[in-house]
Amino acid sequence: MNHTVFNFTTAVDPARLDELTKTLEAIRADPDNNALLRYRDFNSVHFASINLFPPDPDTDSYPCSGSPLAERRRDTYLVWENNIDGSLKAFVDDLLRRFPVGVDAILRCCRSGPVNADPGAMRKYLLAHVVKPGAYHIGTPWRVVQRIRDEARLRDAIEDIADAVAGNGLTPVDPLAARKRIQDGVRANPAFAFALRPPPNVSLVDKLRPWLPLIPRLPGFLWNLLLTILFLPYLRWRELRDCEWQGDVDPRLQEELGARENFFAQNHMANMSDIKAGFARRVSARAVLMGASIGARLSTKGTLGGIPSIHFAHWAFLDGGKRLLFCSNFDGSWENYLDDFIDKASKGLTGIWGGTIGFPRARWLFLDGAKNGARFKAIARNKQVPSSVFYSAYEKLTVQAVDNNSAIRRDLFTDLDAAATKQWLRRL
Amino acid sequence: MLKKYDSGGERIERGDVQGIVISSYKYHECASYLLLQIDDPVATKRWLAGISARVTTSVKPPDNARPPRNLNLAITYSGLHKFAVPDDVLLTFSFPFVDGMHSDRRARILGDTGSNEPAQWWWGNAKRPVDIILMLYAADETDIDNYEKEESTLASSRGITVLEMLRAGRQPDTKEHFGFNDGVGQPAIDGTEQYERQLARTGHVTPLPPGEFLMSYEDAYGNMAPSPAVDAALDAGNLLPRSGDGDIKSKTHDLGRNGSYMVFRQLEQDVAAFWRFCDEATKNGDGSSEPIARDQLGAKFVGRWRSGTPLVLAPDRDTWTDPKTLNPVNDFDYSSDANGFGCPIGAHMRRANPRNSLGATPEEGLLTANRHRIMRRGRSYGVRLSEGDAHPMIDDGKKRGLHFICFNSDLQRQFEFVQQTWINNPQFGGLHNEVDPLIGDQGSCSSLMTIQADPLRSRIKNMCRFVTTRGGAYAFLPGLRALRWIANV
Repeated sequence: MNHTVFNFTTAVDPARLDELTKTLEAIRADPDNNALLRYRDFNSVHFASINLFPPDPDTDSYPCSGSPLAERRRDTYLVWENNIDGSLKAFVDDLLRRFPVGVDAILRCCRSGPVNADPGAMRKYLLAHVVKPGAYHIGTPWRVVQRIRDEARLRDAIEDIADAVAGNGLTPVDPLAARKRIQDGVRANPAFAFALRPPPNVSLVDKLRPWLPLIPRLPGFLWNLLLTILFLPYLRWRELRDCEWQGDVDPRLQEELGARENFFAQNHMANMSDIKAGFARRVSARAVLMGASIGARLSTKGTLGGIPSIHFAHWAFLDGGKRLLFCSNFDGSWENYLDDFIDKASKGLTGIWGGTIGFPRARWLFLDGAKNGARFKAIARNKQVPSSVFYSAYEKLTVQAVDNNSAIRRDLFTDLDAAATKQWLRRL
Repeated sequence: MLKKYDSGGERIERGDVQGIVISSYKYHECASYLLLQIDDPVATKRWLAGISARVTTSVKPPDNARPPRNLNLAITYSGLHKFAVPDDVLLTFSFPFVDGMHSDRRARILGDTGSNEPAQWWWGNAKRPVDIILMLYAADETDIDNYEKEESTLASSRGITVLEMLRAGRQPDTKEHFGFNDGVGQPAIDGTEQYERQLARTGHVTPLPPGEFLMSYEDAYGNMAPSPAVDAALDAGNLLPRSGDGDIKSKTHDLGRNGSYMVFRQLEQDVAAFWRFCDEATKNGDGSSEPIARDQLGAKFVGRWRSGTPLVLAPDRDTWTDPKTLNPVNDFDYSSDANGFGCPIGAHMRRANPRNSLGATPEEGLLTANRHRIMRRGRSYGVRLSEGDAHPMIDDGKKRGLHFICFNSDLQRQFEFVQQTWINNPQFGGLHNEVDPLIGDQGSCSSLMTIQADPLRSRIKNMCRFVTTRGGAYAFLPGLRALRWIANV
């Protein structure tokens, strides 16, 4: 099945910001038992987050305050990110059916949000504020939540059987016999009936569907690409004059971010940057992001630009291309994630973010930029907000673990020769 | 072999760098760490100005004459605050330093939960904060006794409370308490004598640019290592150099230059529990012990045999046959042991420095691993449980462990990264829900460790903590000029 990656983005009514903050706090305080919104109840949501981006600060404290800002953001923005199985509309209907009170509690705090908890109005509002990503990456393509959880249970059970076979490791083990005992153990447990069947095939339709939305965007992409190439000397001239933010991240922000990190195998990053002013910058940003979009769709093996730790991530333009939103659900520490960016994917990153205000200075769109690790981390952190709500359907699984679990299941009952049997056992 | 960084143009200002960054003072077998609290900041500043003349620098003495004593000094965030360093200066320090090792955030990153939690520490938490760490080194017990007495008496008369005097044990060799040769793998600051020393001692050297350990020098990314700064108006006497490597246009002065961030953790080791665990896990079916398997399991936890021989080079038995000496060899990588059949993927040594084993290619793995190195300067404390017994299993009730000390220029990218992304990462290197067997956050005896083997791995279950954090602090080890500036704030 295909996944859908999207967010709802809207401005918050300033008079009801406190109320919204309290609502989100109530959800966060007890994610599995609160009455408003329990993501655990859905079987179709991989990762979700709700984030509040406060208004841009006054000129003086804004990074690179001398830079012309396309348009200062006066409102708090609500960014409600969902990474789901199946279609968007089915999810919205499911959401409203399960949690009408919670959705109302959130939407009534938004600018011109629906009042009186009218389901029809709420549905319309949500759909009207859907933001589709300009580019996205899925580290565990095709697999639905249930399958990822099932395969994790299976893996744990197989590990337990393998423990019984291996003992304390001091007696020799025959690989074929070990595998046979594992197979027998799984067969004997009706909870693992699914494992007796091969995993569902990925249909050609599933493989092609992610490409469909790109087709109408193709002429625009080629046009933007052409313009970017024509603008290149001008962009280079601008790069030499770009402001590179030299400030330190606000310690209060560091505290808030730190307070919400490192509870699961995954962490969340929600970050919003401003595209530098000017037509050329906006055009090149669009061209690069579309290029990234094509690249990411080709990356169906779990890595993006060599980074093996991203479950779901997406970029989206907001406000007609003036701002760039980034949401990512990644494995491990923030430091590790950003270091991977710097060492393995700095060109792509610089291409995408080099045109945002305060980013370390780029050269020819893709060079330098993020290679300046300390400055890159500082601006990335400074533009991040603590996620008010962050949900993971499988809190202990990394992308690599999900993939390994799938491989263990895939080959559990296939015919393997002696060498392949050994390879399979090494997955444990 | 790694490329040698071109540090020819970047001469370290050795007269301004405290000696402990460059040298571990091995020639002094005794050390004591005085944890100080400032009661009277004005009096303490006078003390600080006086002591700065006695701080050991990195200047090589003529004819290699070693000083009879060494003294170095680091100041925590609370110490700088008490000295009335202005807030806008304090905020230019790196966030973990400001946050403090005892905060909840840092505790999650470092694995200080459960019995390791800062609230239960003996020092360094909110109950017993530390402002200054004074490090003393001397040749023998008599002199370190005297040295401790002199310095603590002087400090006490200058508005200071001596909270603890943590004595390190005499170091007859480089073994730690579990009985393993320690401190073999250590990076070298390129362009210093560390390079030749490390190469000669271990047959291997990883040269890193000075900015990995000293602020305001070029770091591994080719950038200037971040450094705290003060407004020029706050340094009217021009004690400090200008920020930006002396850039005359710079409006701020560089407080961090030649300084480093110090990590200090008191890690208590339960030696008897460690070997009892190894014994239980390798017993025969009839309940009898299996000393060879027990020894091997201990080695699997560590990644080296007790002599120091890496498992990668000697997977089945130790090839170092002279029991009186230790094997300092460090010239190996994980290319030949990608599956962990020799050195388990989760072994302490492999987690603490994965060398070339992570990453899409060995080259990429090594490059990224070397972004996260630390300069270790710790020493063990307490008497060894049993000198004669290789696997002591009966506790004597005495406290022992490691005063872990390391230096780095970026706490988040270096020390905290090692703790979080390598040591305590349940998914390190593709592993599944396990942490470092020696110093990891084991929770309540529910952790495990996978010992990879051909054809089938085994798992050691119900692993408990053998190492408990008893105290800790982040501190700023200032350059000499910065020290004088602080004394004059």
